[in-house]
Amino acid sequence: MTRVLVVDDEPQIVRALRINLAARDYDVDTAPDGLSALRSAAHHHPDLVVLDLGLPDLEGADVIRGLRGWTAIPIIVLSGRADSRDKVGALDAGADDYVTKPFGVDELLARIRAVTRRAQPAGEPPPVATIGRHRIDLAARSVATPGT
Amino acid sequence: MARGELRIYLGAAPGVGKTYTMLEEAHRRAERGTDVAVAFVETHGRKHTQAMLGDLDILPRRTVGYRGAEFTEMDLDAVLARKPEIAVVDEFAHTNVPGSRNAKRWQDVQELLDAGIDVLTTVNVQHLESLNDVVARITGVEQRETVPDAVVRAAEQVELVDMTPEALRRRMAHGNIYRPEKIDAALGNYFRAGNLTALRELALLWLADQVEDQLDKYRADHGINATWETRERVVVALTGGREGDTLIRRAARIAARDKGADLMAVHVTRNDGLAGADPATLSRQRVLVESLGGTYHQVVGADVPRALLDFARAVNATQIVLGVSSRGKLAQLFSAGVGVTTTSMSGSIDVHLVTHERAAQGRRAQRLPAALSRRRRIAGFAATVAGLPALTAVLHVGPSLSLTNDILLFLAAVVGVSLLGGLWPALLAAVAGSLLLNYFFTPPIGRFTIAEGDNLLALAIFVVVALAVSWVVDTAARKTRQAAQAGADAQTLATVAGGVLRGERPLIALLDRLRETFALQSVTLLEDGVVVATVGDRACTVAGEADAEVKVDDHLKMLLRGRPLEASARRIVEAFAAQAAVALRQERLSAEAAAAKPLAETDRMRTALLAAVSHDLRTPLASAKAAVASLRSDEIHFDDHDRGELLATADESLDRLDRLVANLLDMSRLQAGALGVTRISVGVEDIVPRALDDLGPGGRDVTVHIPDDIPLVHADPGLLERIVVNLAANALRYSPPEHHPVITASVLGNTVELRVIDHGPGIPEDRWNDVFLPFQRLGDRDNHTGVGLGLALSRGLTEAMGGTLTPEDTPGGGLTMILALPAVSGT
Repeated sequence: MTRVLVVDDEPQIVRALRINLAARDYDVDTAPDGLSALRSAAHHHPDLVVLDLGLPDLEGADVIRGLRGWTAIPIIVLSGRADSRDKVGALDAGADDYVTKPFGVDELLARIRAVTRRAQPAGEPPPVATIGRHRIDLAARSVATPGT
Repeated sequence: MARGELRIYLGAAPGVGKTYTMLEEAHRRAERGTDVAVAFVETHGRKHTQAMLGDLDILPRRTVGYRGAEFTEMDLDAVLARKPEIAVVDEFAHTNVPGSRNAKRWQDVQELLDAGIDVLTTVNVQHLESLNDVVARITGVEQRETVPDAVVRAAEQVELVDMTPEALRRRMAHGNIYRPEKIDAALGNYFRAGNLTALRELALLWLADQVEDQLDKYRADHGINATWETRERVVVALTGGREGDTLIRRAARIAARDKGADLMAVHVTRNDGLAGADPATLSRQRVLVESLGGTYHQVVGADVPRALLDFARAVNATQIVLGVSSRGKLAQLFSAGVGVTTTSMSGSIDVHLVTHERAAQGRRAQRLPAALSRRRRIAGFAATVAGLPALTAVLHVGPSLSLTNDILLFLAAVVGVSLLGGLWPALLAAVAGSLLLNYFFTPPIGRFTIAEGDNLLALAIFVVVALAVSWVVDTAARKTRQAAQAGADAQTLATVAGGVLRGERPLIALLDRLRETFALQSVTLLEDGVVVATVGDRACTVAGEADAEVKVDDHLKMLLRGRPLEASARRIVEAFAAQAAVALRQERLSAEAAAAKPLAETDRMRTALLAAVSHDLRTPLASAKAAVASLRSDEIHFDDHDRGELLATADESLDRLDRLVANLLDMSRLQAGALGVTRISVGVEDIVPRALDDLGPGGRDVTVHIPDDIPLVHADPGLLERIVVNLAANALRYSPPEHHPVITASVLGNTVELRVIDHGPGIPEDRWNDVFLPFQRLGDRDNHTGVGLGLALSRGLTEAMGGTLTPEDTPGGGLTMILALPAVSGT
């Protein structure tokens, strides 16, 4: 089952998306701000992120960069900002698609399907690097060394 | 038996610590072995005061029944029977329960005193009879318990228990004065900072009155807000000599003695060629004057005392400082000096003649005869008329000389006349001399004929030489005069340039300097017939009214009123006018630059605002649309729970959209002045609950304390409700969960004040004005505060109803919004 992380500080949007996605058999995680979004992503490894740009704590672009530091999962930006500068900024930061609010639910769902199709199948290597004896978990931002 | 002594602790308000201080004193006396008894002390449940009672001997109270209730009073008879050396009796102004022996407690105290018992007691300033109406006006609370001033004044000692309003409000907020549920209401009512400050001032003044009756007279003489009706102005006259430094310092000291006196230095530039001023010295003295806080001025005039006094009167000077004359004794014999003349003409202006190290040392050769005044021309003619006949007579009766010598003597006389009186007297002297020589000294004597050719030639040469000499003398004199005038002009222009560069508003300063320099009534600058700047009285607005008109360029024209301009002055005025044009342009440029700055700022604001508004509009629209679109979808079937949630989502989002649009519309109506306000009499106690209902569940967290006797206000009920909703929503947003916001109401004069009090983080005082600017929040970072319209709109709506909305610190932290509305009179 595809796992989607919905990041928006607007509870109504989150609720509408959650109900719609759940009805279509997606697993849904939600986060109201940037930091909890990054935490949730590291913890639950979603297959896709739907992200609002205007978050109370972080800029949406910073959240994208934070995710791109360790994962290539699809990110769809869902924002009220319709300026093309914002779109270019978000896409350059690493977003896969950009949908402006207000949006058609069907269109958003279609785009979610499209980016998940293109994304790598489930064989994605775990976000772990090994240097010598040290095992670095990029998502959890932790280093483990056997025997210490 | 000696009468007891009365000691009164006076306080500005409840809670300043009167009772506590009184009990401290009681303990002190008891420790010294005095027999102290507490006849009556009211602790109001304050724990510090309660603890202070300690082991003092507390006499039982008397219980009185009145109208079915029980009251406790001081048991006067018991105290008299116990007869302590000192009795402690709280609340001097207290009114006894009807049926007691005396109506007032202070009368009980009189009995104690009569019985030889010393009494310690307390009273608040609002209980003093004479201040009763003042206090009622300040606090809006009528005091029924009063005590005659004479009784308090008769006390042996009155001690003020003082505390700053801030400290008192803090003490109150910490719950040291009233029980917690009464605190917020009290802080909003009686314990307003303004109230307490006024009461404290009253207490201090009343006590000062007591200490020094003189103060009363002083205050009556000056009024409480007295400003100095007339400012002292000290004018110091500068000659341009080095003694000016001394004079300026002396004048500055005189000015410093009178608080707020102005210092003005003036130099009279003489236009009669007698200028002795050293420009370098003057410019140095100008800097000195300005560094001492004074101003420097320059006027042109032939008659120094008159020009000086004209200036002094024009600036309403009260004192003039002059240097003692530095002329020699001989010169003083011939004419009175500037000082003496000024003093004799000064009228009501005091003249200080200040001595200095250069006094009476004489000035070195500077007064060369130069200009040809009218007086000198008359003297020249007189010398001709009197001198030539005299010379003729002397030569005629005296030893006979040759004709050559006669002619030379006459030539000398003509040269003398020309030196004295210039061209015209010399011309007369030459003609008259030649006729006299012809008649009396050339043969045939006694007739106007000349026998010998030689003599004719000699006489002709005499006339030619006389004319030539007198012409040279006159030309030289004229040049000297021109040079002096040019020097004066140059000084004026130098002053102009300096003044213009220094001033903040160069154009006005320049025109003022021009008016001053030429003693004009008014100077006006016109641009295409429109006045752009004017100084002085009776400004001309059309060219016809002016005494003189100077064209600057095709658009600018300068009109002068006061006197016609002579040609030489005109040159300077033209220079002034050209400078004025430059100054005008400069002022306009800086005005444009200043205007452009906020424009750029506005532009930046507008972009950010557009982002914020579009975000705030789009977000609820997006949720509503998403919810509705999902419900309409055929491909998925939602269960009842999900359908309900989607419908609630749509509903909430649309509500939010509705509020935002209403706020935006109201804001634009308000800014366009198109808001419909219908003011009727409404009760705040009706509006506040309605507003809290609008807030939904959150509204139930707001505590409301509105006393029953609050009068109706003059307001638009709909708008008032909106304001209260906005204020309460704000207060809720920032309140910590355990400390709910409070709404209180109180009366202040003719206004009703509604206070919305929160105990959140508060806002620093320097940001108080910013929170009322619309669109405070820029961008789309924060979904909870809206576009920042709430407070801006609330203030706008309040002002549209004739009220005010001001912030205040909540004592102990947080923000209090005070909504003041006009009360309906007669309720």
